[in-house]
Amino acid sequence: MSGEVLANDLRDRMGPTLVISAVLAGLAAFAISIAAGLGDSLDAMTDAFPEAVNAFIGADAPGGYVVSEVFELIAPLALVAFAVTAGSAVIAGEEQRGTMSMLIAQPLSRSRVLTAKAFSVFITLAFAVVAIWSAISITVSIVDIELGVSDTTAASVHLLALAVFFSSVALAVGAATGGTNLALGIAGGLAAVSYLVKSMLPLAGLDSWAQLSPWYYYSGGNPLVEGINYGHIAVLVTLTAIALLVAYRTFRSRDLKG
Amino acid sequence: MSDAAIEINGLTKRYGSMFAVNDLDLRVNAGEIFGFLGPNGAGKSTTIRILLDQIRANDGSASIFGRDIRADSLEIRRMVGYIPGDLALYPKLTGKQTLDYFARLRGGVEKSYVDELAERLKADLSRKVGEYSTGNRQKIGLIQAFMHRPKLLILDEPNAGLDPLIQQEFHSLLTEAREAGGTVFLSSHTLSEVERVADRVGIIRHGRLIEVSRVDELKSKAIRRLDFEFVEPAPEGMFDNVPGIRSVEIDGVHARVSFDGGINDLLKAAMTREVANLHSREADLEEIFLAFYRDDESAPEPAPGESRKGDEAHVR
Repeated sequence: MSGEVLANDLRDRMGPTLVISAVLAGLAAFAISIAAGLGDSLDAMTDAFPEAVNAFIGADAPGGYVVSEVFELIAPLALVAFAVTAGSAVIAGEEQRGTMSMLIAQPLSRSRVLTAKAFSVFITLAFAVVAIWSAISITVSIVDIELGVSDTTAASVHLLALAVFFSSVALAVGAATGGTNLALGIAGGLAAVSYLVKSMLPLAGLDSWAQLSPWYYYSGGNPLVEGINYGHIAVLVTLTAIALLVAYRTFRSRDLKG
Repeated sequence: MSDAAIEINGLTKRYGSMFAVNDLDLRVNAGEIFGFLGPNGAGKSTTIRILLDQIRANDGSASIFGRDIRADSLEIRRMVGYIPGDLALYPKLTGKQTLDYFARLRGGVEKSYVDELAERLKADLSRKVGEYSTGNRQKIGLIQAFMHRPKLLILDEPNAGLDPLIQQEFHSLLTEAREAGGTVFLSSHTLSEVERVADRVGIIRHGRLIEVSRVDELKSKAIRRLDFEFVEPAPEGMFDNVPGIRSVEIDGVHARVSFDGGINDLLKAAMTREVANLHSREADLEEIFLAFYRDDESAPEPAPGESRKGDEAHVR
């Protein structure tokens, strides 16, 4: 890996990383404060809902419906979108901008460049997840809510694994083709379709089909309640490894653009 | 063969049925400045990018200082300074940050030499690259190519956007590099850019090398020009059967003829009419260059200042 390429990439993405981290951290803290404030009235409302509805909207999660909204919807969707964008940009983006020709003319192997770029994306995602985790952990220590730091940690670990996986898919498509839009389209499309598979099929009674979706391994084991599901994390890590393997093999053997 | 800087054998690159580089053989000697000439799209950049292992040939092989371009690419890239034809840099970095970045990636770059290069090329390193003019961006690219004193400089259309004074300084840098034992592989689509500095030139068209020769040889064997003024309008095709004719432009009483080989047949053909005046001119290389391209479908625009009005020239 080249530390210089890593550092340059991190610096290049610092602005968007800080923005998305701040927005998600702020949103999470805000949502939890609201949830704590509303506390009883929200509980009273969701208690009146049928159990199936509560299960669907996540009202039975620690911290209730609002915390569930943060971890089920807002944080993963925003972070996966960011992960796909960043993953598409690092290899394919460098080619599209035309800077790859200068970078790869330096005495750096393609594998070293790819490793540095993959790490830069993962570090960025880890930074954003740690920001969200910190905001939630600090907030739950101040307000009165039924959500522990270990619950937050477990959900955060799953969140990071999910985001890393989708960024790797985008990275792989970009590394294989050099096309930013193609990488965005394929990885973004996969994220969207698999999200629907995970959230819709169980409603149709097709629970086992939901396991085809990477999103199932994010929240299917309910890490907010059950803690880290190591089996599920292993699935996401394996899928990530496959995507990276494809990235290395294809990037090494193809003609580079610009 | 150990004194070859670049040795290319049968290099071929296809995109579908289109040959970007077609069975190209070329040898660049260590210690020379070699001009690699061809119109846009002739295959110059493709050849260069194959040499740097950015794209892969379908066929053939090449080596740089005896090292295989595929297997020993890293070692080769350590020895090479390169500027791409379509230079793009990181817009958010300043010129200085850009050069620092590439210097760290490479290692072993003397800061004082970077400063010296920046001073000689009058490069502004303080602002962000995104705010630069094409010329200033090109200067950053050039400093980057020279800064580690490479054994081989591979420069793809390096003159883009440089004003004449800076071009002169750039030419001095090239000759200094050669004097210090370096080799320069300089691609261009205009001959005037390289004729002052190059020892030899190779001309590539449709991915094939069509000519390699010393610049002075190219000049001497090449095409000369006679401008006739006749008393009466000259008929079309009056030089049609003259051997060695490269191009003819007839415009009323004036005829401009480019030719190589003997002059006698041409004069005989001209003397069938009454000649009022006759000028002989040494062809400049631009003209030689154009003659190589004239039967090219994608012939380049005439060089600036050269009028092609009423151009009826044709090439045999």
